[in-house]
Amino acid sequence: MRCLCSLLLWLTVLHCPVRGEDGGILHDWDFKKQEWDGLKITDKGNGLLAKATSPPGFDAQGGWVTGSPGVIAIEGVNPGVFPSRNMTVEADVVIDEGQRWGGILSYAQDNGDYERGWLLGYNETSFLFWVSTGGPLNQVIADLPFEPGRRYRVTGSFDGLNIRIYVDGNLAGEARAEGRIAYPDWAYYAIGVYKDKDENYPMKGRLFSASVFNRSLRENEIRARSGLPPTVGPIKFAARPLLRFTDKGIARIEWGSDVKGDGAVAYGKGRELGEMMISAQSNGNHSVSLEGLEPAATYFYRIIQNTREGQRFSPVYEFSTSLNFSALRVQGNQDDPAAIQAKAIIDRTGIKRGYCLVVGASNPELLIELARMSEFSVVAVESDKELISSTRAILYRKGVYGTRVSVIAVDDLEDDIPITSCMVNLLVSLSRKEDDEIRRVLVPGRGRAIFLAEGGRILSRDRFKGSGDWTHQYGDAGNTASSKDTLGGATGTADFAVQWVGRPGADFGIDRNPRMPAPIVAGGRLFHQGMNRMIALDSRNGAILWALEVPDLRRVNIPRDCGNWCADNDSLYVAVKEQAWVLSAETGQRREILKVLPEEMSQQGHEWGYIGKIGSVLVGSSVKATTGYTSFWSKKMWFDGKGGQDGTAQVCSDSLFGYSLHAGESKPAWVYRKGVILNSTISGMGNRVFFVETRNEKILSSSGRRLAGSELWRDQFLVALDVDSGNVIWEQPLETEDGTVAFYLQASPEGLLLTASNTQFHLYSFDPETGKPTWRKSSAWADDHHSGHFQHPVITAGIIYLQPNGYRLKSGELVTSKVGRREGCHTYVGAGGALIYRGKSRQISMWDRQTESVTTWPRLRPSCWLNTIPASGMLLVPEGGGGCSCGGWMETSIGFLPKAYMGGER
Amino acid sequence: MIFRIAILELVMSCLAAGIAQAEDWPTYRHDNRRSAVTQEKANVPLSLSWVRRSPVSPLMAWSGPAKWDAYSGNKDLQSMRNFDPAFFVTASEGAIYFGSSVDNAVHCLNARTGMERWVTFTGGAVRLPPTIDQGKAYFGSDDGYAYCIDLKEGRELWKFRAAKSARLIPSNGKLISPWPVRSGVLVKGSNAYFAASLLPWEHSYLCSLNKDTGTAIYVSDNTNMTMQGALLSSSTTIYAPQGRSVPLLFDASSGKSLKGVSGMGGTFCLLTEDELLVGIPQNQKASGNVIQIADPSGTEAMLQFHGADRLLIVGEMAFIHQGKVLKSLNRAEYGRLQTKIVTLTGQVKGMTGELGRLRKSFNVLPAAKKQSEGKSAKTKILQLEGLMKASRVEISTLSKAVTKCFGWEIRSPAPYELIFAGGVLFIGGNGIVIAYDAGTGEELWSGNVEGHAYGLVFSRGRLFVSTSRGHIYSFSEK
Repeated sequence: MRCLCSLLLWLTVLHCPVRGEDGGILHDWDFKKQEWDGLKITDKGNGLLAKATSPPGFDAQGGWVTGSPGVIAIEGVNPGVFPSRNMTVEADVVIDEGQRWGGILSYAQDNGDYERGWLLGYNETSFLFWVSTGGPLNQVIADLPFEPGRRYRVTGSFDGLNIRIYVDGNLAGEARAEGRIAYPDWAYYAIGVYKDKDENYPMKGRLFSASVFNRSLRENEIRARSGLPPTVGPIKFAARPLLRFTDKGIARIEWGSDVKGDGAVAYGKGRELGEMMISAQSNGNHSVSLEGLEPAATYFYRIIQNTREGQRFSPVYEFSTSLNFSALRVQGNQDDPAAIQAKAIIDRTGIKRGYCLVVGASNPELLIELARMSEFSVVAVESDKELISSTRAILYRKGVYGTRVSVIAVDDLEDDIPITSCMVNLLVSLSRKEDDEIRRVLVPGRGRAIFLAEGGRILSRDRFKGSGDWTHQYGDAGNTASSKDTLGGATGTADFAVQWVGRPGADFGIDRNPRMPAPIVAGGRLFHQGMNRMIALDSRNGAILWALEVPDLRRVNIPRDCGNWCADNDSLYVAVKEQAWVLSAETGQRREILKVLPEEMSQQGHEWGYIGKIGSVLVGSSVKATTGYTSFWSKKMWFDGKGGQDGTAQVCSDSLFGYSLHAGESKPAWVYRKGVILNSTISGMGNRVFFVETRNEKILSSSGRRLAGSELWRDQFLVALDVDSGNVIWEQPLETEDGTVAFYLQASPEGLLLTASNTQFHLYSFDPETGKPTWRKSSAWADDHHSGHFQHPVITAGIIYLQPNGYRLKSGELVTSKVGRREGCHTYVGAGGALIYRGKSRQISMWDRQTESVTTWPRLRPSCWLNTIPASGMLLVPEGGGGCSCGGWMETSIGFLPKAYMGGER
Repeated sequence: MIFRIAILELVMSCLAAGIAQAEDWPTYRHDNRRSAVTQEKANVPLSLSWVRRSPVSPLMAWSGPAKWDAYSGNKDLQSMRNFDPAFFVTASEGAIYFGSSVDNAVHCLNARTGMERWVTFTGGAVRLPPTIDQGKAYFGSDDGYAYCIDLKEGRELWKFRAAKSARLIPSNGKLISPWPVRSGVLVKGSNAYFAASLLPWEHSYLCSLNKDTGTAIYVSDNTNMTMQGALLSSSTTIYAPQGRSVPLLFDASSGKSLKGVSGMGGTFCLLTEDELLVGIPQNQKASGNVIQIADPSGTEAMLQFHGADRLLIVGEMAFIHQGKVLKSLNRAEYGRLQTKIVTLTGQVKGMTGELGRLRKSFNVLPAAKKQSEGKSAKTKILQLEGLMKASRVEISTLSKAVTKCFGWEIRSPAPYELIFAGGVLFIGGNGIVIAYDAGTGEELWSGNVEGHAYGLVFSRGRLFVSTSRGHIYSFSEK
């Protein structure tokens, strides 16, 4: 039901704006012209006198125009004046131009690693707020960019536990930040400028007012000060929202509410969200379609839920129609005999996505109907030139030629098919009989051929022997960073041919820098994450099977956390805030939503941390909300530190639990809760899950779970649980070097490998049956930058590879010290007889384990952690290097097929 | 004074254009230098004659650029490979022609009515418009072939594939050759040139064929290239843009690879009469758009225009959109002055270093020697100081003169295309096409379109506009 009324009208039916409390105000600056006395202005809260650096100027709306030299930097203000724990900072402001260091109101020093005080400011794109609690600063960046020249009310709040930023009264970002505010000995009380001991960057913009409160204002107070009606709290999602493009110009948004009642989506090309779609479903499961969307346009939207107490709002989300990959709908005639035939073909083979090859173009209606009833790209091959012309003309007139159906010419319909091997999902033969050529072009495993002249006989092609999957962050539940894929014996770049190339491109991702979750591959499908979005491709031909925009999907700095998804042949399991979604691998339909432990959710706001399928159990961990890393802007979010800096702290869980996937239970079958578990160590093998936890009292009683202190490395235990029951099989106290840079655990039949990195790598091996240590080694970092100091070891064929060395896992024996030299931040992965990594000239390289020789693909750049996946009998590189503006990288997704699998292709 | 002379020349050329015959627009951006300049005078205002609407926007070879470089804090990164954002048009003798990335075909429309005369299909997307030459159309396709067809019926006369392999691979829901022809076909003299290229680790081919027979004169086999976007040519050289790498120079007669143009990139390129290459930088490090001019024989860009979207060169004049304004510029004088400023600045820098060294040497001399040995050093210091002062004065004078190189300046929407038609500038914006008097900057006319107007062609009294929606508009003189 489309409603053309504005969001404002819809809201005012239900609410009238109310004013918030104004208590607790410390400084209240009003920059209107009449408030100035020459260069001077006095705050209305406590009478603090300030002096501008030049006579104030004003814009047409009365805003004080700031910029060089018109700013305020008050000296001599004692830090004791400002709140030590609860505070709110607010500004009514216009930013005319973003900049790297942007300050609106601050009392701060930011000098290298010495970061103290607080700052409400902005960067090139977004507002931000940070406070220091003694260590690295705690920063929250608004999740949507500001528009230069537009007036905003920006509010930063801190309550000793969380830091939040609001834009125009709406929550725009929050993060965990515990402790008291740590102040510098002195700082400027700076207004309209980013100014400290070393920096002085005037704000190019206008200020109308600014305030500092010595308490953390409640959300409704902040909303009221922005003229917004109160909210009864953020919307509570039973199913967190997702957006799917269903046709050109159409997007469907689905979400579930925890209460019954109407919901709505307010949306628009601007932040005004001028249009609205109402969802009247009463069961709490909502779905609305936004239609008439312009191509290549950015839209904003938010979800509104009516409850008895009032309205609840989601944050404002964003999507771009440039990323609409949906297949163009085809008009057809369902009564046409060709429609009946096409339906029978699709029903019998059960395949309707990817590439459909029709051998023979004599029946254009069949081609059209096959396209209409599926999401196929339909390609017909034909040798008769007249037939090619007439069929193309018919398809062109029907408006499907080139978009859904095409015809390519061949010399002989019984001879070579000029397409690459292993790429056809469904082959429809009008008259040609089964032969090597038909078998050659079929996708191994999932591909089918149907022979119409033989009564619809169906041929399937077996999966390649030696073909492997990459089901978890590091390949398998054991985190070995290798797949069982033999790659057809390929060990160098010359052993591969390009199998497919195309989308997603660089506009899909966040950036190459923030150490994103790895793509995963199972059942011939490649899954890849981008900027709050995910996509599924057919591994063998790059066909886009489905794509979802998921506003709450983001996890970065994976080396200090764990992946947020895993897969098997049928399903994709994705951690999204407090939920785990079970998606159909083929269609992306949400089959089930599992919740992180309900009691922890209600008490402390936990999210789903680790996710892994171990045996038939989906293992999860619970992490306190906002513990995980999500920020990606700036050099700091490259997370390349050497310990002690922000970005090397470990994300830790409070519990581990297992959902039996067979039982269909809504609660986990077991819960383990004892210590604080380091996410980067959770690994599985057989029916066991292994991890490292600390039982240090100080850590246990601390409220935060992004941990870096020395206590984290004390009172540690290595634990093995039975994955079916959650029972402890064994546990061993652990004494290792501190993993201040990285700390990994890997499980393989030959042993458990623990890697701690601080000033060098320390490797510890344990017997997986008992947890008893077997050997230990230390080795120097290959480099102290570009991940050289926290590369993730690869375990393949019983050998551990950690540049430059290889050790036999069973014994610790050194087997090589000539591992191909990495020159960039992508970590190593292993498959068959090779390691793949970012090598020579920072290009994707292969190191032949046998010959120890290196080959590279020129101008092919991987991401800064892991996006080069050996699986499905291929080497798959979904785009992850985009954003690097300094090089001529290819910036495309690409799949390589070992030439050994190309059969008789010419 | 400088600018007045240039304006006078421009007015003269406009007058000449006024009596110029109706012209064809036979190839992408008019000619092999991709000048986008026709001497045919546009008589505005224009009115809409017809629109050919596409149900589907162009299916571009590559997706857009990354949203930002978050690490470096750069946003608004330039697109480096957007050579096919619209169905670009060529025009000849009452017909227009375009290639389609949607339906893998070349189309011929009646220029007056927009009615389709014929359509010729290929095995892959056609990303650049056909080049029209002596009754024939030449174009390339993603299927790996260069084609020649007749203009009357679109009948195939010959086709040529550079790669030995006929293998097709999937790409964005279509099939392409690993050696697609995404350079268009450039016709020069009796030859037709094109590139078949995609991946730097594969072979890339620059081909020269006899344009009448399609037989190969040479097939230049190269590696580590990604030739894409329309080829350009001077009298002796073929220029091949590469998108995310430097444009390449080839000897036209032999196909021998000569060099890359350092510091340049992208697929928007034009070649001036004095053999300067205009384009965008090689990388996206700069925040915001940049247009630069390079001497292909040199090692770095000569001039850079930050915040510039498009630049057009008509003789000594240039028209550039920078920030929010469109302005005219005596680019020859501007280039001369800027070159001198750069040279002098370099000299001053060198002298500053030398002066520092001399002063240091002088200061460490014992007092007794300062009178004797230090005398010549002091003389040198004084000489250098004098030279530096003079140089700085000259730089200041030149800098003032630079400002006089700019003529008119007007607020104007950001153009996706900029062409010149006998004294009239047309810019293609987002949803709009605007005509300006090239001599004064006065706005003469505007017309609305849907989408971004990436392609503009003026021929025989008609303006054809190709937009990002895949639509083609025809505006004609009233």
